[in-house]
Amino acid sequence: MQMLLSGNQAAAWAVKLARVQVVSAYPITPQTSLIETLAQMWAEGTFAGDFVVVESEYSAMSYLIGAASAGARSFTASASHGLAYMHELLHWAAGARLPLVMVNVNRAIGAPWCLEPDQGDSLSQRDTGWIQFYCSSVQEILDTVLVAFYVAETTRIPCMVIYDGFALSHIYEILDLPDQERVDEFLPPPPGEPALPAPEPVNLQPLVTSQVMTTLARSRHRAMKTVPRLLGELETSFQKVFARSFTFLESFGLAQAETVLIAAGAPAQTVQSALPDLNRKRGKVGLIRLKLFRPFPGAELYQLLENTAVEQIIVLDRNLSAGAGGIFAQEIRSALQQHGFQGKVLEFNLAGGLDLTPAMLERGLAYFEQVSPGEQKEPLWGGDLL
Amino acid sequence: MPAPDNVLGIDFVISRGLEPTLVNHTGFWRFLTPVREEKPAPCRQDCPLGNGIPHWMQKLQEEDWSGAWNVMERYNPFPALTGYACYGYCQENCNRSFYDEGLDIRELEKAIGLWKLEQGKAGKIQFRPFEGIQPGVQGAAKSVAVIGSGPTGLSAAYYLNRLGVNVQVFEKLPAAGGLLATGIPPERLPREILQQELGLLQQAGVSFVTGIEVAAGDNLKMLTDSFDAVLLTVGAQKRRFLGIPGERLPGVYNALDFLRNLYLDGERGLIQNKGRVLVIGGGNAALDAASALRRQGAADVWVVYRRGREALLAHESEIRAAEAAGVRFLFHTRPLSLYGESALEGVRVIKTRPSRREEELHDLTGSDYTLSCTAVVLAAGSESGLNDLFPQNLPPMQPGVEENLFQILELPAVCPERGSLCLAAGDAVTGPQNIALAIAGGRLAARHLLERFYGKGYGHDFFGKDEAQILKAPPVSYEQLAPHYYPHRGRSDVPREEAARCFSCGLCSHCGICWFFCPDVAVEKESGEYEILLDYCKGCGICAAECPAGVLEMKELKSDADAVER
Repeated sequence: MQMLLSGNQAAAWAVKLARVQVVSAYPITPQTSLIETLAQMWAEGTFAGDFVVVESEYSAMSYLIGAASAGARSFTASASHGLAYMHELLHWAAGARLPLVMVNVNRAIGAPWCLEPDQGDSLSQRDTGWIQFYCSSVQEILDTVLVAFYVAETTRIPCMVIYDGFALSHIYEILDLPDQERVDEFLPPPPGEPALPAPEPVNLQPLVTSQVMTTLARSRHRAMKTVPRLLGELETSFQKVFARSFTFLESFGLAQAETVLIAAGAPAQTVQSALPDLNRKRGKVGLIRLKLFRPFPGAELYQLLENTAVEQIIVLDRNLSAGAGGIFAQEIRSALQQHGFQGKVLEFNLAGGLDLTPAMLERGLAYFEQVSPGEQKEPLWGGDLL
Repeated sequence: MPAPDNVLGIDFVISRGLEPTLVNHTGFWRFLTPVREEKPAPCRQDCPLGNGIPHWMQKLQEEDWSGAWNVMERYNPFPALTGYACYGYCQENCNRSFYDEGLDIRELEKAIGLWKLEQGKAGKIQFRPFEGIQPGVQGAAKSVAVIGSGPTGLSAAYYLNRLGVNVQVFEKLPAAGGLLATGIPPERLPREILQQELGLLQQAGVSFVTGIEVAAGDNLKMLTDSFDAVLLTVGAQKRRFLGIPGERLPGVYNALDFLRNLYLDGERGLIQNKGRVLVIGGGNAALDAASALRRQGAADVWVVYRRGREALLAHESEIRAAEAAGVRFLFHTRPLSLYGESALEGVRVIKTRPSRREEELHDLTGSDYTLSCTAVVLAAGSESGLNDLFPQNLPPMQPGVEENLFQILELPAVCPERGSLCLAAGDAVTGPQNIALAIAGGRLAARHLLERFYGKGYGHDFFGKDEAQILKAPPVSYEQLAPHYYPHRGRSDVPREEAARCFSCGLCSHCGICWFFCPDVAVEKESGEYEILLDYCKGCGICAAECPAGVLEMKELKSDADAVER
């Protein structure tokens, strides 16, 4: 069924279709309309799960840790300061290997107060042990939430689905809404019987030694590393059920490209639509859309670039690790160097949640043409191109 | 949790401990300790009987009538009488009234009373002796003569009889009941209810001797010689006069006499009076008499009172009843004399300066005038019947027990030789009060006598733990409760539903909210009882904040041993 939905509404629909059993969330801009939609579905009786109202994001995540420990398919959503407030519990959920799924709608973290879609909130949670997806369209939000439940429950790693505040959360796009039977075929409904209380109570996550902790850490890492392979295998079954593709790494125009832009989230959609025009004006520009950020698909990224004429990579970062640079750029540079990529990795930074326009993109490419063969000393600041 | 899909070779290890977390006694982090302590509900504190209302409400909620009666009996053996005739002090400060509508406690009390009468008539409940009481073990069966069959005498007779004492009640009037029969209008207390209560008392073994007046001297001595104790519950009906000229004129009546003659003998002479009747006084007797006159058909009835309406001593419900009956009021007016040639013709009155009850009264000089009337009903107050019993001079008396107003007096000089006891209780000691306090006086006298007969602590199995300490604490305030757990709902005619509206102020209702909210799982539910595990309670206070009944309270204790439930 074709529907016109905002990103937040699409996420809510995905939660409903995934037959989530427990939702606990606290409202925060720009996530609010997501949980409002869910609350409305709950009130109307179309969403059958529990909707637990709490006083903070900390409690929301705590509640879900309990719910997931009891075997319930559980979901929450947050943004910015709300996500930061969950930080400690994000670690706990991952360490406990609970298959939680959450949405984070990117919004800058203060000070000062700012509602723009900087990715710093979710990237601050990079090392908590959650899988991270960055979506670029409303359709992709719906699809990714469904995939996230599948991946989380298969790997027992919690999964965060991320998209840009306002640019995606509040933009309406036409999407294909799958019916319940198709979703059930892809993602089997959760088992009805909760695992708690257990017949023989056990003490989950007790105090352990470093030897035990290192074993657990290695196990989490190994499980994380299987995710790209799992997603690769999933592409087929997703296509079969929903008759459209689901990919975690997508490229455009690589065969002819000498310069490749790498972007995640809504800016990737901007680049994609500007690409024909850029190629006509400047020539030999390609795009790689990075959808999976954790685990970082370094090998898969290198495979795309291997045997191409790409000499220059420009990474669009809508975030900043002050004193180091864009976070995507660091990850890409490190992964590609590890695999022997010879070209340059340059930085185009939109920190603060700057909106990327095709005009800015064109001016940016003109700048990068003039960069000397030596290393770029500073990122190109999007703010200088306004 | 579903098992992970290991077909894909995904690593999955989590840590599970074999040793339970119970080894961590986190309770020693605690500074404040939740203490479950029974506190007085406003209804209990306002009730002259200290009736454990929330206790029997809990039984009614489960439709456990027998359980409700067993609780009620400890406080009040005649819930039907109070259900009809008490002014309902318990309902005046019900915390539920701050939320939607106060509980109709009196109606529920009446329901328990009617249940008791019905069961008693059918022989389904026994009133003697209380199981667990074996008078033979404590000594020979004792006997008590109760002088006066008003609410105090009946209450004392009930409890003494219930706990194994032989009781004989002496009444000077031809019918038993005291003020219940002679003072309270049948509209408020149907006489068949009183008759049923008296019938059950007789059925239980209490014997009544009516039409015999006990007087000081040989008469009283005969009783003290034949009984182990004599209990004087003679009330406070000795007529008081104003001390002004003309009080003995024909046409001047006493309010208590008028009511007694009306209710007991159907005497209607005064009612047929066609002229103006003045009732002088501002207490319950005055207002009762005035209302009765109007209701029975008297044409023109005035209450003459020396102060304003707000200073009337009568209960507000009596004042409203009089107003509704068409009684007219003449406030700030005091009689100087009653005059007439051979019979009453009128009253000389004077106006008084408005003043509060505790202030001295001042006449307005020169404001005196004459009110013509055909009858005057005096309700100038009454004194203890002990003054009638010992008209020469009162024997020496000493306080027996004193708990608020529930006083009893010992009269050791009445029976010096034989070593038997003489006690006085009820209105005779406290002055004119109300039916609930009168019943309380009888209960106190009975307990006192039982302890004098059989030793301290006798009867505690029946009366339960000493609750005097509980009632001394301030009443549970609305702010101490968490009423939001109750749906907003007005009064219901269904007893179970109405009882379910009770907030159970100050009494654990076993609702389990503490158990539900405790974030440390430190409240344990064991066969319907909730226990706080102090080894694990960190003292966060959530249970106390959420306790709907205000029973749990955070306290700084020196040791866990101090937290033992009170």
